[in-house]
Amino acid sequence: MPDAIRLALAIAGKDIRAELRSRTALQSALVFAALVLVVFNFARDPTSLAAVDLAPSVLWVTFALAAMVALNRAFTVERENSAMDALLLAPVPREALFAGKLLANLAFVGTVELVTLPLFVLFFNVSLGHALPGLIGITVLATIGFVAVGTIFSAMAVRTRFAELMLPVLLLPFMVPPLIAAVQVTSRLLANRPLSEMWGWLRLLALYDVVFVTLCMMAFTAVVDE
Amino acid sequence: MHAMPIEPPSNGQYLLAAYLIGSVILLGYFLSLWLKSRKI
Amino acid sequence: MTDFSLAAKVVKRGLVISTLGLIGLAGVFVLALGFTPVEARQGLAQKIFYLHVPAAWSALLAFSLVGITSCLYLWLKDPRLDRFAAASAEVGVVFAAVMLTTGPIWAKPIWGTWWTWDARLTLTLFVFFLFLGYLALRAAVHDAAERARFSAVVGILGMLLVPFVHLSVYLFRTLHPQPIVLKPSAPSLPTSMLTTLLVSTLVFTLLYLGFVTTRYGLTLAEEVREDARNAD
Repeated sequence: MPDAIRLALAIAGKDIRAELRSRTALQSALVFAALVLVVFNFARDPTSLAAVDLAPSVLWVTFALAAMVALNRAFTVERENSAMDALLLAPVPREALFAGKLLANLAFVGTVELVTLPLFVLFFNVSLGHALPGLIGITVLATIGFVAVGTIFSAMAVRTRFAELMLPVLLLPFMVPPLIAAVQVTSRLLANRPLSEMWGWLRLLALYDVVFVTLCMMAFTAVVDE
Repeated sequence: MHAMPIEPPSNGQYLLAAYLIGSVILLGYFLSLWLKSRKI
Repeated sequence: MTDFSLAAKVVKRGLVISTLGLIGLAGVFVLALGFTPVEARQGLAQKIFYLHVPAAWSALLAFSLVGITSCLYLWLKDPRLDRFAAASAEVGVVFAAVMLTTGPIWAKPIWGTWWTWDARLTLTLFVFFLFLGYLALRAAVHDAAERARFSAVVGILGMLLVPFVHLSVYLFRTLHPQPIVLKPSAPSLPTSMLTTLLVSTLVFTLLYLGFVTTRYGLTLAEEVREDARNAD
C-alpha cells in the first residue's frame, strides 16, 4: 500500500481512537441531533402537512447541523491537545494529513447520522424499508461533500477567535448544493420513484465531491503551513 | 372609436423606492470611504 | 515618493473616479426617467431594471476578480493581490446589496412576489453570503500572511461553488414545474432601452473601479501607518 495512503489511515485511526476515548464530539453532535428532531416534531402541525413530505428536509437539515457541531468539536479538541503541531513538524505530506482528517471526520459524522436515522424513523413515523440502501448511498455521497469542505474550514476556523461562529458562516453556503441534491434524492427514494428521476442530482453530487475533495486536499497546505 | 392604448400599471412608488435605496447604498459607501480618507 | 504619499495618491484618484461614477449615476437616472420609453406591460417599475442589472454585473465582476486574484496570490504570494482581493470583496458586497434590494422591489409589482429562486437572484444571494464570510474571516485573523492565505483559499473555493449553485438551480427548475408567473420577457430590447442599459453598465463599472481603487489605497495607507508604528 502506498505510503501516503497508509499514513492517511494511520492519522485517521489516531483521531478516531482519541475520539472514542473522550467522545466529546460524538456526544455533543448526537444530543444536538436528537434535540433538533424533537423541535421539528413540535414545530410541525401534523394535520396540515404529511410527515413524508417534510421528512427529507427535516432529516437533512438535522444531518447538516449535526455535522457542523461534530466538525467544530473535533478540531477544537485537537487544538486543545496541540496534537496537530507534532504532526506538522514531521515530514507528513499535507494531502495525506487532509485525507486522514477527512476520513476521521467522515467516521464521526457518519456515526452521528447512523444514530440519528432510527431516531428520525421513530419520531416521524416514516417507513424506510425499500429505500434504505439508496438512503445510505446518498448519505455517504452528501456527507463526503459536507465534510471535505468542513474539514478545511474547521482547520481555518480553529485558528480564529470566534471559531464556533466562523465555521457555520463559512461552511453553510457550501453545504447548500449537496443538501439540495440530498433532499431531492431522498424524497424520491421515499416515494419509490425510478432511478432516472434521481440521476441528474446524483451526478451533480458526485461531481461536487470529486471537485471539492481534490481542491480541499490541494489547498490544505495553504492553511496549515506558514 | 379608436382603440385605447394599453395603460401601464401605476407602480411608480416602487421605482422611487428602488432608485432611492440604490442611491443611498452607493452614496453611503462612497461617504464612508471619503470619511476614512479624511482620517488618514 | 514615500510609500504613504503613494497611498494617498491612489486614494485621491479612487475618490475622483468614484465621484465621476456617481455623477454618471445621476445621469443614468435622468436618462432612464426622461429619455427612455415606459414599458407598456410593466409600467414605471420596469425602470428599476437599469439599476438592478448593472449592479448584478458589478457584483459578479467583483466576485470573479476576488477568485482570480486569490488563485494568483497562492501562486505568486504578492501582497498586492491580497489587498486587491480584499478591496474587491468589500465593494462587491455593496453592489450585491444594491442588487438584492432592488430585485425584490422590482419583483413585487411585476411578479407579485418579493422573491423568486431564479438563477440570477439566487446566485447573487450566494455570492453575497460568500463575500460576508470572506470579510468575516479577514476580520478574525490578525496575522497578515495567514489572513491572506486563508482568504485566498476561501476565494478560490467560493469561485468554484458558483457553477454548482447554478447547476442546482437549473436542475431544480427543469425538474419542477414552476407556477405560471407573468414573467416580463424581453427577447429583444428596443434600442433606446438597450442604450440606457449599456450606459448604466458603464457607469457601474466606473463605480467599481473607483471604489476598489479608493479601498485599495486606504488599506495601503493603513499598512504603511502600521509599519511605521511598529518600527518605532
